[in-house]
Amino acid sequence: MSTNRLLTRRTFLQAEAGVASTLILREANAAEPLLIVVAKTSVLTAVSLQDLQRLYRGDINTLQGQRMFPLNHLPRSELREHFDQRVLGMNAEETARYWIDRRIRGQSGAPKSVPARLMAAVVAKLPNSIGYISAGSADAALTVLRVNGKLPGEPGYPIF
Amino acid sequence: MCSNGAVPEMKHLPGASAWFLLVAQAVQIPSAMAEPPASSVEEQPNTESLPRASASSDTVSPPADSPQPLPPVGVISEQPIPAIAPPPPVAAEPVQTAEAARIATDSDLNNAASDQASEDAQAQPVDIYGFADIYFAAPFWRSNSLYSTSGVGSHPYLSVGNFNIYLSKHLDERWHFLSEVRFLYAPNGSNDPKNPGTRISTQAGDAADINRPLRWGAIEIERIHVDYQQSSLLTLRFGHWLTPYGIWNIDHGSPTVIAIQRPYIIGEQLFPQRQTGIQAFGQTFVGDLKLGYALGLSNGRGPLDEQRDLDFDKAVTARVEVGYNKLGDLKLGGSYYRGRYTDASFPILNPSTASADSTVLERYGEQAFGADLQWDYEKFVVRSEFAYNEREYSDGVRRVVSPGQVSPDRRRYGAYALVGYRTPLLGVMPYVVYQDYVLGHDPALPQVEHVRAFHGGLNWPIGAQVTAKGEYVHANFPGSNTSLTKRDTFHLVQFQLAVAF
Repeated sequence: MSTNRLLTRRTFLQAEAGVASTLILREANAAEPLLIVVAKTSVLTAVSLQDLQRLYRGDINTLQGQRMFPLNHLPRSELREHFDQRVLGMNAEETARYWIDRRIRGQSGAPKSVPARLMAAVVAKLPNSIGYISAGSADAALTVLRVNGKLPGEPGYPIF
Repeated sequence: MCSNGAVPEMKHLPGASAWFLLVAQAVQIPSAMAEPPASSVEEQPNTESLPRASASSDTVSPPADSPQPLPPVGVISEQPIPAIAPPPPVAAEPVQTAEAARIATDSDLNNAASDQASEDAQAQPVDIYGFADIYFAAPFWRSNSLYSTSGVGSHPYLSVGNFNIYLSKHLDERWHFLSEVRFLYAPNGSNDPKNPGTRISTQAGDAADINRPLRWGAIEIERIHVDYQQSSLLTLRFGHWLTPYGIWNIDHGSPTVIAIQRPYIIGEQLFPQRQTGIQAFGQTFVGDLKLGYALGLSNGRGPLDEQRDLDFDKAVTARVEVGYNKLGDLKLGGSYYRGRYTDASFPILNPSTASADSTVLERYGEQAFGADLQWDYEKFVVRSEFAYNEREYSDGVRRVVSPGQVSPDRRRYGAYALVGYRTPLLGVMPYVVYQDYVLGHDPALPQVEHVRAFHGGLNWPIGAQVTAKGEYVHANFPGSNTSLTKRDTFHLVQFQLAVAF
C-alpha cells in the first residue's frame, strides 16, 4: 500500500450467527501507525524492526529468548498488505510467492492469519503471540511494543 | 468454557481444544463470515502458504473482510466497538465455524497453548501441497548428434515434468514431519540397460477394465524426514533429506527455480542430490549478518543408499552460509561432501566358512566442494554456483564400462551463473544463464569432456501459484577432439508451465 494513499480500515464485529454485524469503518491518513502488540502478560516491551521482519519472514521464532507466535491479518486485507509492504518490503503477490517458495524448499510456512476483529482478543489471550493492529484498536489487555525504541506517535516510529 | 463471556486463559486449556474454545468464544460468527478467499495462498492452517486439502478448507466461504457491504469510503464511524459477545452453548461437536476449525488446526499455536499438544496434534490434518509442471520442447540438432542418443529424439514434444506431493505435519512444538514424493511415468519408455536400444514397456492389463492395456508408472521418494528443533541454532533431521548444498538443490521445485532445466553441475550430481542419515542445522544472526550451517552424517552414495550402506565409511556433509541484507538480500555459501561408494554382491551364506560372503563389485572414494552466491537486489536477481568433484577408485574394483575397460579416476567441475531482472511489465523476468561443465574423461561417453551452454529466457509469474517460462538454449562441446562433437551444436526452444498447489 502506498504510504500516501488513504488507509481505510474496516473492522467487523459479529454477534450471533445470522445477526447483523456492526461495521466500523474509519478513514485514517497515511501517517496512522500500525501498532505491534503482545499480551499484557508478556515480558516484551520493545522490538526492533529488523527482528520483527525476521520473525514474520520465518527466519527466527524467538524474541528475547521467548518462542513467539506471530499472527497475521488475512491476506488481501488492507492492514496485512500495509504490514507486508512496510515491514517485509513485499507486496501481496511477492509475499504469497515468498511463502510458496519456502514451502517447496521444505521450510516453515507463513504465520497464522487471524481476522482483524479477532486479532486483539487472540493476542491478549494466547501466550507469546504477537500481532499488529491499527491505532485505536488497542485495549487494556495488550501491550503496545516500542519499535526501534519508539512508540507509535513518537517521531521516528517506523511502521506507518 | 466460561459462561460469563470472558475469553479463557489459554494456559488452562488443552491445545487444540483450547484454541477451538477461545476462537469460538471470541468469534461467535457463522462460518460464512469466516474463511479467507479460496484463492488465497496463505490462508490455510498450519504453515499456510499453499492451499491444502483438509476438511476445514473444504468449507470455503466468502472472505470475512472483503465481501461485506460497506458504507461509503470516508465515513468515520464513532460507534464503540461492542464487547465480545458471550460464548455460545457448549457444542457437542467441535466448534462448527470454519474459521474456528481453520485456526484451530495451527499446531504451533495449539502447542504453545498446551502441554497436551502431542495428543491434540493427532487430530490435526496433514498438510498436503505440491507442485507440477507441463513442458514443451522443440529440439534442433542433427540426427547424428550425440543428443539424439539421449532418448529425447529430435521431434517437438510435450511432457509432464514434475508432479510432486508434499505431506507435512507439525507433530508438536518441536517435532515436524515432511515428505515429498514425485510421481513418474518412468520407467516406461526408458532405455533398457540390459538390452540397449530397447525401450522398457510397463504395459499391463487393467483388471478393472477387462484387461485393456494400461501403462503404470513409479514414484520417487524425494525426501522423507523428521525434524527436532531444539532452537534456531540446532535442528536435528533424521531420514532421507536433500543434500544441503548450493541453491538449486534446495529450491528444486519448478515454481521456485527461475530457469527451466537444472544446470549440468546439479543434474550430474557432483554432490549427491539426497542422502539418508542424520543432519544438524541451524542459523543465527550477528548484527546484519545471518549465519547458517549444516552438518550431515549419512550412508553416502551407493546402489541402495536409501536403505543400506555397503561399507563402514559414513559420508560427511558440511555447509556454511552467510547472509547480508543491507545490499538487497545477499547470501554466500560453501559446501563440502566426502564419502565412499561401495557396490557389492548380495551376501550368501558360505557353509564351509559359516559366514556370509559378499564380493565388492565397485568402490571409490569421493569428495566435493561447492560455492554459491544468491543476490536479490531490488529487481535484479543473481544465482551462481560452482561445484567440484573428484572420485578415486580402489584398485581392482573399478566400474566396468565394457569388457576390458574400466572407469578411471575422474575430476568433474563446473559452474553456472544466472542473471535476471524483474520488469514492471506483468512481472516478467528476462534472464540469461551461462554454464560450463568439465566432465573429465568418461569411457562411457568418450566423445564429450566439456559442455558449454547459454540460455536466454523469460520467467512470467501469472499470479502467485502459476509461472510460465520460455527459454532458448544453445550448447556445444568446446575443445572436443572428435569431428562428431566438434560440430555438434544443439539448439533447443522450451516452455514450461509450473504450478504450485
